[in-house]
Amino acid sequence: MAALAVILGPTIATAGVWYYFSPWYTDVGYRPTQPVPYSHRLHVGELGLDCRYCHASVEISNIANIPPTQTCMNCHQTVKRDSEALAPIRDSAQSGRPMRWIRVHKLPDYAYFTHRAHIAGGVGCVTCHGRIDEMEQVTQMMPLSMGWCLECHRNPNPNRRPVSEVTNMKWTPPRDARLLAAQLGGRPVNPPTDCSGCHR
Amino acid sequence: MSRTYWRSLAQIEDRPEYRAALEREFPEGASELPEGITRRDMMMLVGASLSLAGLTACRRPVEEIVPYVAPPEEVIPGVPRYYATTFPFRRSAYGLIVESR
Repeated sequence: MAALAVILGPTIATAGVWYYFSPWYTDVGYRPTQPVPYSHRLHVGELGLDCRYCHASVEISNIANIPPTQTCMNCHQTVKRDSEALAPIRDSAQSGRPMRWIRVHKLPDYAYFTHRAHIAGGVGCVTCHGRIDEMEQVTQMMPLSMGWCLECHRNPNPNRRPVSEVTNMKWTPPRDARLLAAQLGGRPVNPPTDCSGCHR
Repeated sequence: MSRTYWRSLAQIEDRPEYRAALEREFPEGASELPEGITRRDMMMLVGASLSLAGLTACRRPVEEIVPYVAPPEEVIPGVPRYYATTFPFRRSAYGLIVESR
């Protein structure tokens, strides 16, 4: 009995720390309540807006911008003009005070990350952000941890797709590996796996 | 005959309350209060609250993203802009490229 406890105790403790201290537990599933209940499921899933209509800088900048109030008002000055939920957006547009959205996906400051290179390399939005087009509230789906980044950096091709399909949430790779290779194009990507690649 | 030292009259007379005091490690009230929460319990609770207070730092800090209301033209978030300008110093003017984030 005592021997069993000696073996089981540390095993359970190790397993507990392994899981409960990892970003798979602490970060995945983070779903803050936003000031406006913007539904990606409605806008992306049903209406079919492209990611880049709002997150326009994703292809040319390190960060995928959160859209300015004006982007919302492009449509909502005519669509759903009297919606209760949209009141903060209208207030913001009228008063000039910016919206204060809550950040969901957060990388530490000591990790360099650029959306531009990932989009150009053919990593789809869905690969890291999950099925945004099915989310009523944006939820973090992936741990965004270093180990998780490195898994893909060491072997990127399973997570690549043609650049034309990066914002396609429903894209599936073709069965034929050669066809996929042809779609990806000839130039191989070479993501860094050394420390200074991201901790620069 | 050696001298016999004593500390209290109770010791000389070898009273029962002196016997009882000998049995105790500390006098009454020195280590544990006669009633209510004891000193040791207090230390235990304070220690536990201190160590558990560290856990509050485990909560994820809420970070806000505050975008423009109406974005100025040619500003791309995350992409620095460069301006050509001059910097007058001493008797020269130096050409500069200024980076603005």
